[in-house]
Amino acid sequence: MATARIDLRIDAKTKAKVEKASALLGMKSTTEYLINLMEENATKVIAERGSMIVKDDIFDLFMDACTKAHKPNKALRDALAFTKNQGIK
Amino acid sequence: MNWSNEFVVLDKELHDRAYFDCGEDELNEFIQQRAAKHMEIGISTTLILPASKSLPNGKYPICAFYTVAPGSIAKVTLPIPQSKKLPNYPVPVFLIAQLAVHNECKNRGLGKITLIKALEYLWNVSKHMRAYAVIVDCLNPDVMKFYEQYNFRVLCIIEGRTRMFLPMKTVGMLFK
Repeated sequence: MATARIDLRIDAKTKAKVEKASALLGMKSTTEYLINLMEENATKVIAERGSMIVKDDIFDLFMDACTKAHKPNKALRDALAFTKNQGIK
Repeated sequence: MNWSNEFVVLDKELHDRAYFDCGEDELNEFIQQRAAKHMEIGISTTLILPASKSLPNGKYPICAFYTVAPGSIAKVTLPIPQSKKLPNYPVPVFLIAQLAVHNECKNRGLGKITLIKALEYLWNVSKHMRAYAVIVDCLNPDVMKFYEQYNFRVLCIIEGRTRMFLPMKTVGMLFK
């Protein structure tokens, strides 16, 4: 059940525009329109955050690099030694 | 400001988020306003290194933090059946979505400590859920230089930021 609230301030011009758009889409209320928008956009933002799409050749190079992974370099090994030395868990 | 000796999961009751300042608005805003929320709804996990002494309000300042999240990488085109050994479907990766050090703790090697702890955390996760690489998006050229020195390689440029990766196998060789 919808019991949580979002309160927001909006300038009159934008509010009128939003109301017009929600009426054009045949929404029952501006609230319904906004909830749909927020739900759709939030889903998209969350999905886009972690799922990356790259060009085919980049993907192949990436997979190749991951398969034939190089050994950790000196800087990285030194960073690990430094961290251990500092005793940070 | 001196740090304690253990990274812990961010707790807004214990850790003073408002006091955090790394000099980058985007990162400050993230730890102050979004990190706890993102953890609550399951987008990402943030671990922080608290200071050894608390502030007058009883909360501990955050000396450094890192935020990790799961992700995937896929090709633009739909998979075409072919005899290639490498898969064409989306492959799982880990993201170090955020990593920052408080201004008062800079130039003491805490950046590399935080990176090592983030990699170690992800290495432990990978024992249960495999991933191919650790991905970072570099906010600016200095950040890119930081990761480059540890052999992170450029994957692509996205929205003006360089996206880099380090194979999980390399991380494995580091901790084994």
